[in-house]
Amino acid sequence: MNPAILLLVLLPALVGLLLPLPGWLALRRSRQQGVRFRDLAALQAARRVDTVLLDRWGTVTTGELVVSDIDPVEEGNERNLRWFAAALEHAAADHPVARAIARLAGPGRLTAVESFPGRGISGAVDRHPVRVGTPGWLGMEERDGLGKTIGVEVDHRPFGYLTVTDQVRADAALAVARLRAAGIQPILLSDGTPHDTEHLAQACGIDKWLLGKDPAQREQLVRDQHGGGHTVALVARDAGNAAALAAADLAFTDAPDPAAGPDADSATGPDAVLVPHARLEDLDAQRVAHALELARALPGVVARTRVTGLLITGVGALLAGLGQLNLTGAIGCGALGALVVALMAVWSLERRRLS
Amino acid sequence: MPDAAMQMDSSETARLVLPSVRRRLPRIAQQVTEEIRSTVPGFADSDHRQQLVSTAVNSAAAYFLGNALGEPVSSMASDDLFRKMGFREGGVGADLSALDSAVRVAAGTYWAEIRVEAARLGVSPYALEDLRDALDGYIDHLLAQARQGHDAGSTAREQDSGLARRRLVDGLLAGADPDDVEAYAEVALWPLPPLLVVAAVELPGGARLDPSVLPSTVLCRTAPGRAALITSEDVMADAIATVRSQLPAARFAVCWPVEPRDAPAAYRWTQRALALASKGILPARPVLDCRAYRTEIWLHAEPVMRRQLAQELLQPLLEETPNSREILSETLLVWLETRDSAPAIAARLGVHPQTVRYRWRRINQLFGEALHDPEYVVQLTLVLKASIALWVAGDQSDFERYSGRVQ
Repeated sequence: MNPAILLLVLLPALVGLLLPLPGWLALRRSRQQGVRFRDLAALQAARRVDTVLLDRWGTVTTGELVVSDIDPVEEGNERNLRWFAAALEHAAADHPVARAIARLAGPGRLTAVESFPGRGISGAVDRHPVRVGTPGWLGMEERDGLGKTIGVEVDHRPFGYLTVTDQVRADAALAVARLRAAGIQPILLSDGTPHDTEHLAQACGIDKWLLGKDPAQREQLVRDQHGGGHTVALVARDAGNAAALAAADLAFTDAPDPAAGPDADSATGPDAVLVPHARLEDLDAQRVAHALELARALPGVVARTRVTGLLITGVGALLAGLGQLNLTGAIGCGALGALVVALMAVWSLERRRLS
Repeated sequence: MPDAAMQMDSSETARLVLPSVRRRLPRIAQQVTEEIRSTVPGFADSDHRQQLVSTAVNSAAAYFLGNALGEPVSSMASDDLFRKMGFREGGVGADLSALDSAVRVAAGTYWAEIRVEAARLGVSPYALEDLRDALDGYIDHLLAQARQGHDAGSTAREQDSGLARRRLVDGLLAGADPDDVEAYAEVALWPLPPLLVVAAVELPGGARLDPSVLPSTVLCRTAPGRAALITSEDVMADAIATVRSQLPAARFAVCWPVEPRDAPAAYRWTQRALALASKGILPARPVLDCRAYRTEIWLHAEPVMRRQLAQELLQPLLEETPNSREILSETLLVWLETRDSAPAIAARLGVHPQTVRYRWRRINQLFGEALHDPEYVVQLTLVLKASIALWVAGDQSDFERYSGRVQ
């Protein structure tokens, strides 16, 4: 047999067997979905994940808090309560609680603003003295309940309470169900109170939740899951979670802060210890579920691609053996076969997505 | 002297004839006025002079008749009128011939009436001789008063015009008799406008204004550290600009146009405006337009009444902090003055509309139904207008007696 014809006939099999075409396509597909796996190894590591720790901030919630209850001391003062608290909190919008309250109204004319870390903020809104903070700091009655209760004082008088809770994503329960359907156990990891965390977990359909406030505690919780024989993915913000992310088998984290410079990506977080990881546009649990589904579907796609390559090569070899294939035919067979193998990989991934 | 000339006044003739003449005095006075107008050229074309001389002559006639009848009357008023007329004539450089003629015309008219009445009563003309002598003596006395005034007017005219102008300024600002003011104005060759504008000037560091920099249309009284300007409305702006170019730190309070007789009050208002500005109650602008601060100037003329009104009407605010009192009062005043919507009031105050809604809720909580009482609202508006600036300037004396209760 003409060696050239033999090489051309073998081309589809070689393409199917040697080129990591499905992996490349899966990485590209993930990027389109807002998930940037570091490399093929990270994608393959995702295949083995059976437990996902979802940090409270940004996964099943939007990452922002929301004011869920407005309770003025005097009836009819709701709008005034919203206005004075929001106007002052615009001055402290680097804190999630402040951001939630600030969204209640536009900014105002502020003077004499002073922050009291851990307690609250004081200042004058249109010359009215206003304080927003923990009820105890304001001399107001503490309240137990869902979410974080904030007291508001205007003109040196107790003015009302605001309750701030997590803003749960609308499709959080759907994402959790997808993970569970893929055979992955979702666990909620929270720095909130047990009561709030339990309520959030129930709202998202998550059975298990863990509390971890400081970085060391969180790292230990990841290691505990790992030690229990699970392959653990952690979905959490880079900031404050570097150790926990590094302890996971796969780290899903947010995109590095552009302000941190070009080397920031590799200087901190999972890159620093070469943990397989993916950067997400945001930590939406839906993205995570999609990426893990894709990773899990990858072996099937690879198999289908290889089988297709081998089958086409087999047919080509048969025709060549029977002398039915000249050089021109072999070129056509090889090119067409390679194309069919590539299309099979694309189709397989696409079919998974459509399904 | 009139008393010497009237020694025979107690005679029977006078008691018989003069009462009926006196009863007809108003009609005779009118006749005298007409006579003067028609026969004395100097008084024919000047209503004011003619009116003045008629008043003086008829006043003198009333005195003469009263005195002749032995009644206790004083010649002071009529003497003063004749001195003033003489002063005016001397001040403008005129002689006394016109005044002399007018007096003699008047005397002739009165004497004719006396003779007619005497004839009707059958009194002999010889019996009137003593009365005639008394009248002649009194006319001489009056003309002597006029000469005395004429000498003073001529002297003033001969002296420098600065003195005459100063006399006019002092007369205007002290509220001198309008006739005197008019005479001073004529002597000073400063046409008295129907309306004039008064400005009080505060000069830094005891500086003294040089009046020579001002145009002749501006009257000026100056002292160390202060000055007063008087002129017509259209000239005042230029006068202020001239003074400011000389003394840039000078501060002015300018009154609205007033009649000359109201100049003393206008000067008082301008001085009060400057005093209020120095206390921080009125804004420290270089030129204060008193028209814009009438209420403040008015109510601060009675500080005790203003304070008592404030304490009575603003009872609802006494428990508030000074800051809260100030901002609630400001909002309440703007609402009382404009009755505007929350966004419009907010725009005026430079705050958010929701802040205004909150304040309005507080105001209603504190004042309640009182804001529906028109009398209360009027008084409250005035008190707030006069008092808020005082509180903003740091004067909390209105509330001091309640300080133990204030947070």
